[in-house]
Amino acid sequence: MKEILFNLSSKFRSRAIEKGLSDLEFYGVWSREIHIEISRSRVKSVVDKTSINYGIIGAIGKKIGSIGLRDLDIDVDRILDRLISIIKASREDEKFTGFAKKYGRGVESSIFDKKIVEIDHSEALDIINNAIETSIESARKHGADETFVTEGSFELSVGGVYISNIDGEEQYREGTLNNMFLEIKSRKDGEESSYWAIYQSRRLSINDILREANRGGEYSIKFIKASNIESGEYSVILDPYMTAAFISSALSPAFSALSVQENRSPLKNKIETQILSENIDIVDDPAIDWSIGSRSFDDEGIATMKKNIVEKGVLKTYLYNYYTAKRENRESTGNGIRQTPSSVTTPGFTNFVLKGRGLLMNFDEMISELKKGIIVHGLIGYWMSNPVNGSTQATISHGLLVEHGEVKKAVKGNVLVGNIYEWLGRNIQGIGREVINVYGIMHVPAIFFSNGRIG
Amino acid sequence: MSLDILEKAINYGRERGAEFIDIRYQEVLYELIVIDNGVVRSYDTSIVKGLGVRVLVDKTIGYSATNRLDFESVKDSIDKAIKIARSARKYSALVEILKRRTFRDRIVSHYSIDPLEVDPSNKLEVLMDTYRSTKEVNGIVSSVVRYGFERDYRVYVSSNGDFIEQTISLIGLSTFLVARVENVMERLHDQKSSVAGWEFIKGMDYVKFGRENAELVVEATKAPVVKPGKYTVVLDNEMVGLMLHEAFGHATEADIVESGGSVLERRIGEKIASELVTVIDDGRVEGGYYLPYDDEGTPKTKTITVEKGVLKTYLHSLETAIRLGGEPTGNARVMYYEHPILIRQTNTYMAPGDWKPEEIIRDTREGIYVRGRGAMGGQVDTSMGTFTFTAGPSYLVKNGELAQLVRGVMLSGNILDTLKNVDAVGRDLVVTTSVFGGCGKAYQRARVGDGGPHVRVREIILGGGGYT
Repeated sequence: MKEILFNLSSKFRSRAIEKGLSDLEFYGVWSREIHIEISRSRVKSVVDKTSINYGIIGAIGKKIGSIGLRDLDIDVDRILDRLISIIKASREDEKFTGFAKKYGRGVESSIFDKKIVEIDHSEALDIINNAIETSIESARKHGADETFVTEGSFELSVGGVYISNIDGEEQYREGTLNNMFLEIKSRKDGEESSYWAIYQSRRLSINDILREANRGGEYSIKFIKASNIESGEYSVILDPYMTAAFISSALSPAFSALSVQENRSPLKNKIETQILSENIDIVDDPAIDWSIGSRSFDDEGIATMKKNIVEKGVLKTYLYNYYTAKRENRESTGNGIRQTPSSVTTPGFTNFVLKGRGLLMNFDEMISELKKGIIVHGLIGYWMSNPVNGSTQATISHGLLVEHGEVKKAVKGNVLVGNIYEWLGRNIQGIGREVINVYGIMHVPAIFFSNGRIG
Repeated sequence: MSLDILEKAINYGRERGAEFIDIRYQEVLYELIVIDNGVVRSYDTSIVKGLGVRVLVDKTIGYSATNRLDFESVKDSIDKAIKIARSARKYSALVEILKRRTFRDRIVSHYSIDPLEVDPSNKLEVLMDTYRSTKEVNGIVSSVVRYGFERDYRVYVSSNGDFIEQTISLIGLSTFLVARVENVMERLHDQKSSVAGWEFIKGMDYVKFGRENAELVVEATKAPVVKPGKYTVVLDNEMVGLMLHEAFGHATEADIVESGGSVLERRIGEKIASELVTVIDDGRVEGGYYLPYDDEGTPKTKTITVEKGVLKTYLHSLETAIRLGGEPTGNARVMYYEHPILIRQTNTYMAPGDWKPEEIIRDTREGIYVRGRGAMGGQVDTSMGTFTFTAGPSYLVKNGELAQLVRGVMLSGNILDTLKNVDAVGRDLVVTTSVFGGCGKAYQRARVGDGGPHVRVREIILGGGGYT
């Protein structure tokens, strides 16, 4: 598969120069995937798919354009003619100085698991069936009368990423991916509740998959008979999953240099300013073994590196790709992320890591500190939080009311609103000792804060 | 690729032992131009081309997909799908595919001016004029304007003898604006799309569209955050559509119902909403996304899921109709050729009633007029019916009149309680769609539409977003 990408890139590059393009970037990905869908604890569908997807991004002077293709039956000249007509019609971007140059490899980590490549459909089906049975058994052990997996999916894939530029610089890597999602529903005494098990890694770890399935089953029964609580201000503990949910929607996009430069971030002009509690560090770390965001070069071929974004609550740097770095006459931080093969990159985290320096607590210590508060284990609508101003909002789907360190009842249906800079700033009461990899690229602890507004 | 290959491939699949086989061939072109603060950030065309195979072998389904389109590769894909079906037998629910009459048709959605023939400089001119109209408004600090066009060509063939070819063109314009007033920042996203050609953009007052959105977000930045609590709300056309699609429509999708994930399971024939509520899923309604046939070649016509408050049917595919005992409703859809069939809505809307919108406001002495413009969307837990939505800048209603603008409006509740509390339905039906987004489910995005008339609901919980 990689040869197809190499050949395509080579053809486009040689013809592009002849046709008068001043710059060209080729970005291609191939993937081979087994995708299993689950419905009511049974397999609903199994898909085997192979695809090649690539983009050609070209420039003439300061004008750029791009074409993305998932088509191998192409005429290179026709595609380039079309690209040139797009570029000519475009307008100059005075700040554009060319596509990324000086490709390189930075930090390395484990991203390729041979087991995923070698597995066949039958073994994949056995693994997901085992996870389903584990979740059901776990729920029953915790008191459920009836449990089943309503919906789920299991995906194993291997693929490659290839990038080249008009100067003939190129980078290639291969990686693997394993995703599992199960929604587990339990019934007891005529009431029902559900929870989920999520696993995302570049490695196939049956132990980790079963651990998540086990937790999902346990939690599917934990929130039965949940109800609303009175509105007011409460102390709140977000488990690591919920911390990640709010951070990824309300905070992390604000570190993009493009958002800053284009006035869409509240962090503009805040370098070396205290933006969060002095007990918080945030790091962009592309070298965490098996984490989804790990990579030795970014999506425009630039070497990646580990860097401190927030130190003791003070903002140290934004995240830069090549374009935003050139706008400030500095070097890219290796954070160019592409949404599609033909899109230009925008700055984003590789792996987001939040760690506490002080106020460190175990989860149980946080609970014992709660006089009157809520532990949040599930939310809906958190993604509607606003990175432009840091406002956070979601409806609690799985919560526990705690009074004087004791869980009193399960909570659902209340709205939790606030602001991420307050939660991680002046309101922070505790930070989990354990940093957990959740939702792909997020590595975060539980957090404990006061004055959470519950409606 | 010659379409003859598809029928040859069907025969090959039958010879290899498939009891049923269907093939989805697709070519999608998507053009996206993004102007970011006056700079062309992206001028991108993407083309997806490929073919997906589904086989039924020994009552088990197998799927395979490829974008290598020579006959040997297609045969290889069919062999893979058959092998998968056989290996999945152990853990699969047994499947039957409903046999219905054969359909053969060719449909091209209407347009007058082909956007692909329009000079790119004209497109950029429209975008720059829209951009300038937003930047002229004091307080706008960031403005992103986008043009999107999609031409989706799909061919469906099956061992049932179906052969459906359809080409749908969808076009639109959007703005994403950020305002800053005295250190308060606010954002607003809005778009207009239609199943049409370039004539839609030409006929649109895009300068007014940009300016009005800019004025609204600046005004919203100065507005107070709504006070959390229970309110009587009047939902506008957009908000009704958004809530019906997300909070109710998903629960009518038969694959969610049979998975045990729907609050509507085993409730056909039951009164689940106010008798003023009639909900429709229609692939051919004006203003919505045009879907004459689904991805199983079944015609998508008007499906009444709720009639005068009573749940009448779920939305079905050929698989779920036979399992759950319903009729196929033309709601089997895939995002791309490579995806498995899911049950998806097409255009979800509430049937109009007899109130004039202004009468509803006048009759609502105290409450809030919840607007969809600038809404960020919503999410629902279909098994419990719990929903949460973020609306756009909205107005308090005082003494039957629109009063102060408020922001940060977030609605939360249970959809069945909410539908039971509907006590006024307007006569003004509006349905809209979008070329910039769609509905996400199981890693697949589907183009959809939604809408309705103005609707009043007694007692919805509103939360106010958190702002510093």
